[in-house]
Amino acid sequence: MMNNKTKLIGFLKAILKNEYPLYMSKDFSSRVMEKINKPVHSYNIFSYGLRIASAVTFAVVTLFVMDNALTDKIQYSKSNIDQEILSPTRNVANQMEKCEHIEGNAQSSDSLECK
Amino acid sequence: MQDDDKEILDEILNGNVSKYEIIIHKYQARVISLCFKYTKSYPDAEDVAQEAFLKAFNSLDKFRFESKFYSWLHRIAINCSLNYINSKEKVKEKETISDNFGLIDNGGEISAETPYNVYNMQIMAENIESAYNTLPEDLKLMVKLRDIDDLSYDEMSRIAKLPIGTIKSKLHRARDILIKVLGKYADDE
Repeated sequence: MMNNKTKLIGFLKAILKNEYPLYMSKDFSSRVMEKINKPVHSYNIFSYGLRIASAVTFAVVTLFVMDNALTDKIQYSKSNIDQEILSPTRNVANQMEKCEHIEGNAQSSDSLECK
Repeated sequence: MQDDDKEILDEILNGNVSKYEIIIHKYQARVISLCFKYTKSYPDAEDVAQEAFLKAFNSLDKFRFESKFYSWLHRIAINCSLNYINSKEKVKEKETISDNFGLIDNGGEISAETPYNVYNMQIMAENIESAYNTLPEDLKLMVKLRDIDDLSYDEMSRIAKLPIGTIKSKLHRARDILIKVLGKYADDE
């Protein structure tokens, strides 16, 4: 009732001062009050639980990925390891290319002597 | 400067948030009207006015009562309107390729038939104007000094050469007459 009278006095002043809109929503004030009363952050138990669960899940997944995909597994052996390291892994021929075998195709050879 | 709203604002600052609705009721029409001058569209004017009321509420603790509350709110509403214009300009720049479909508003016009959820202030104003003109001269003077010229009771008393009690009583009678007229058109509760 008090609010209604305040509203009417507000309208009256606006009209007398010639500062009124032609149309105005009836629920304008309630819409503003709704926004004011609406909490900015709703921290309830559910949202807290959800945050913690998502953090734990993320941590577990990250550890799993780091353990299995990003690091080489170290294998321990009781005896000494005598096996030579197989390097280089590719077969490399360290021979000079003979130009007479590729007569007529000297330009296609990579060897400098053939050019 | 003594502000008529100081008492209500103090209550709001002390945690009685629901009292802010009184402030909104008091100034909503004037703030929307001010925003409409910039937006040229009533729905947009209401959105901007809403933002202005929210901003005023959120920074109420910074209001030092050195000016009238409405002057402060008026300034906030102008700033919000200018921000609205700037953001609308940016949207227009982005949409220059399109044929601006959907951007053109109807200049604030609402269909001839007033929807049930809006106040038709024009009809209210026409009726208030005629009711104001039929008021006795002494009552009309009270309304003019207080509601149009925003004078204090002391100033009114000096001008009308009447005691403050008489001033208040006459103003109350005059407002009652006008509010009854308004109530017929704003009766939505």
